[in-house]
Amino acid sequence: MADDQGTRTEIGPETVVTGDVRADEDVVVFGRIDGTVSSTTAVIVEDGGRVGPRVEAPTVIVAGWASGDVIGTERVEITETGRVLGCVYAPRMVLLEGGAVKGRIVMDGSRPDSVQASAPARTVTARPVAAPAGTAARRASATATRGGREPVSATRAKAAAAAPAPRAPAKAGLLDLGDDGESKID
Amino acid sequence: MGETTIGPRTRIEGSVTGRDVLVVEGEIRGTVTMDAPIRIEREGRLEAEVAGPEVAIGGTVQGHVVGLKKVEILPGARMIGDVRTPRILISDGAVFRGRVDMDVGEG
Repeated sequence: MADDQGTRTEIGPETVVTGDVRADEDVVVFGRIDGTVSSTTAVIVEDGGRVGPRVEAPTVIVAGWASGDVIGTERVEITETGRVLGCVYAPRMVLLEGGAVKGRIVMDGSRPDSVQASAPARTVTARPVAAPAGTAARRASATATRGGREPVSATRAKAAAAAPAPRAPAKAGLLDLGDDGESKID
Repeated sequence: MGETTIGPRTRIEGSVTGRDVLVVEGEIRGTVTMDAPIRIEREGRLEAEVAGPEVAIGGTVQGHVVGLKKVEILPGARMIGDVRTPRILISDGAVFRGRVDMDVGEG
């Protein structure tokens, strides 16, 4: 319930939406949206959720699977379980350790229609890095809460209140995006 | 079985299918096919072909509704279209324009 009136759209784990979804509230996806999703607040793709070929919102958080264009007009966050196969457009971006992107990351303010398609696709995998002091606590708290498989949307609401905890062990090597491409929905 | 909620400030054009309970507070144009109960809240608006085991209409629906077990048209609802179901409940205060097909034997 991130927006002022506390309303949101939630796509359940066993729901498939095909087509266009437009919202003036948060859209939280546990299931699947085949089409375009846009929100004037945020789109949150939970672990197990799938969206594509286009997601657009001021804030986009990917803990599940996103294919195509992921457009965060303010920021994009890809969590430890997040996978993006496509392009991420965002002026600010967080890719947590374990999260993966196969495609391009565009942070120069351009939009999908204005970017040339000639750049080679590369796999980017988050690796352990010394996080700046300011982000360390926030990151640790996010890791701690999500360890209990709490939805990101819930974590997001109370991220500020969560206590710091030990970080999860580092994952090594490249991640296989292909295996995660299988749908969990029949 | 989880739950899918289409919020009051969301509009979907296309299809919604699945096994979750569906609560519609916003707008859907297209088709809605669920294997679990469907509830259209007072502010919900559907311009769609709707099918589910139980369909409860409290908002505005324009289209064809199939309730495999039951259809309820609640007070304040505005239903325009045909309904096919074995059991139907139309509450006082509901507006309904359309045909009802309850598979009544003609023998």
